[in-house]
Amino acid sequence: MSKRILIVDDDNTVREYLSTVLAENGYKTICAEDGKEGLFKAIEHKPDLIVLDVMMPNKSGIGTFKALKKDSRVKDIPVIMLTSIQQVIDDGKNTTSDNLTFEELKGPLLGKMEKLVEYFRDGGVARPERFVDKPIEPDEFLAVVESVFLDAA
Amino acid sequence: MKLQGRFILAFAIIAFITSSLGLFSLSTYHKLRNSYLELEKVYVPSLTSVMEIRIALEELAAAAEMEPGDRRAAEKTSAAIAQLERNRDTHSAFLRLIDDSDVDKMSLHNIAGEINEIIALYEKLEGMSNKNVPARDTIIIKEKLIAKNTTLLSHIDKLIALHKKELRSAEARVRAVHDRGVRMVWGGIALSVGLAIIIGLYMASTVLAPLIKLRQGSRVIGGGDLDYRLNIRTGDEIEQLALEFNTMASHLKERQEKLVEAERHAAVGQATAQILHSTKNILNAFVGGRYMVDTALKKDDRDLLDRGWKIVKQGIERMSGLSKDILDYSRGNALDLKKTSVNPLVKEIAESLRASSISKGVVIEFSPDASLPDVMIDEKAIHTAVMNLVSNAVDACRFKEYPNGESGRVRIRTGRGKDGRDILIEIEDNGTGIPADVMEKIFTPFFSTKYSEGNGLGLSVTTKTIQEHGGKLSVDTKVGEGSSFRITLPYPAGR
Repeated sequence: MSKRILIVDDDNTVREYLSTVLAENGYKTICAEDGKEGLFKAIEHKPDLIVLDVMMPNKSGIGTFKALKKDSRVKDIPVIMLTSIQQVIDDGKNTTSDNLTFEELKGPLLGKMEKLVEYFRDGGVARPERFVDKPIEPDEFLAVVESVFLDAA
Repeated sequence: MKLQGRFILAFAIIAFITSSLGLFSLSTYHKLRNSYLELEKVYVPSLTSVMEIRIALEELAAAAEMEPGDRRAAEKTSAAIAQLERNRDTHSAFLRLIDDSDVDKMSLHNIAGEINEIIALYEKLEGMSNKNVPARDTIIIKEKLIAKNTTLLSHIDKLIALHKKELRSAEARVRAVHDRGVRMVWGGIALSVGLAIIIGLYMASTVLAPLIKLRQGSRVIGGGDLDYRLNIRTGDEIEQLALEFNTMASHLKERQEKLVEAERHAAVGQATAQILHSTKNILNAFVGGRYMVDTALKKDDRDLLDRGWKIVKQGIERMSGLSKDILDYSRGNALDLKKTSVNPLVKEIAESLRASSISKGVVIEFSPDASLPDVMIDEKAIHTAVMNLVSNAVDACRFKEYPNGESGRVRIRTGRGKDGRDILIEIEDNGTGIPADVMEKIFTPFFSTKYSEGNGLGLSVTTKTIQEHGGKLSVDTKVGEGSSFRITLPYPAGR
């Protein structure tokens, strides 16, 4: 039986794109536009994997993640989080421009982002299984999905 | 002259005048006192003794009238003689004191001698009464006595008159000294007051005036005009203070410029990060769309091809949108002002967004004010601004949970300002409202609460546009209940 994957992202291009990638590789997909709908559909369909975007309006990705992990019905479903944070941070760590050092750019924006990622990477409570950075390369994404299923098995 | 020096000089002058006045008053007092003492010590005793002489002489004359052998006559006589002897010389101090050319001093100076003569004669008489002396001799003596008595009396009277005269002129002198003293003191007071006023005015103008300049200058600088410099040339400590102030203003200006630069840097930094974020989102669409198109071409799946291409086109649109937003934001102040009717413009926006809003569960209502006059605006810019506010309002409602029966509602209305000099465009929604921490940032360029849609430039461009029209954008919001954005545009002219 093909695995069902719930995609939660406010960006319709991401939903379409990921649905296509997954469908092409034998997965069934369900989509949700925002955190609220995502939570609802997770409870209703009990997918095998949830792909969750971090930055969303109307119940942020993090909030949705926490809600999922609190709900006994869905807390054991593995979660992959989509972010564009790490890329920016990595870029930041590796780059210095002549005019502005990235230290100056970092500032509060990146500081907050870093804290966010730290929370998930090392923080106490439940962590998402994986992080995937945007823009998403199809092969990389697929590899991550497969590895998650492998771990679960 | 240095400030300190001027103050010291002013006080010295006043102290000098005051002490001069004091000294003068003191000397006047002393003169008066001496004059009175004179009166006391000399005039009065002298007059008293002269009066006693006179009385004594009268007694003698009276005694002479009495019967010889009358014991009372003898008593009277001896008492009178004693009196004469006691007062013989007292008046000489007085005579020495006066300096009057009218006085026949010769006659008056000899009063003592005359008294002696009278006393001698009485003694002789007394001697004669004991012995047996022919009556004729006694009578001769008596007649001599009477004559001398009379002469002396007239001299005494002259002396008394002189005393009185001198007393009066002494009094007059005292009064003169007193009056002059009073006049001088009043004059001195008037002079002091006048000088004090002059000095005060002088000090006021030379000290206060620059201080006032200083205060005004510091107000101007404190109010924000850091280019203002104090121009005080008084050659003293105040001028130095002014120089310090100017230096401080220069420093402040430097620091402010540095601060503005730093803020700009931070803003650019933040803006850059956000643009990066926006472009990454757009990139998603291209990557995703490309994958779908490639896969579709491989599989010859027309449907997938259409979907994929649609995604790519979305990406292109988002890209154009971002470009336009950035351009809009950084465009100059070139407004194309034309007399425009606002109601149709807003109506068109409401119409164009109606369908998509309904699909999001939000109703748009438009209540125009029919009497709204035409205003000078850049139609395109205001269109973008209102469109931005209305679509924000729709989004605010989109994400809110509504209890039974209610739905998201965006009310747009136009109207005239309170004093008739503005027109208003109000966009009110019953959406989520804006929390306080977000409120601070909503006007910041590139700040967005929408993540994948929008670039966060909408509100900042809107604000910029309105400000360039000389208008105002105000916000009223309550979390959970909704927000109201009000555009005020001046009428009739633009900026």
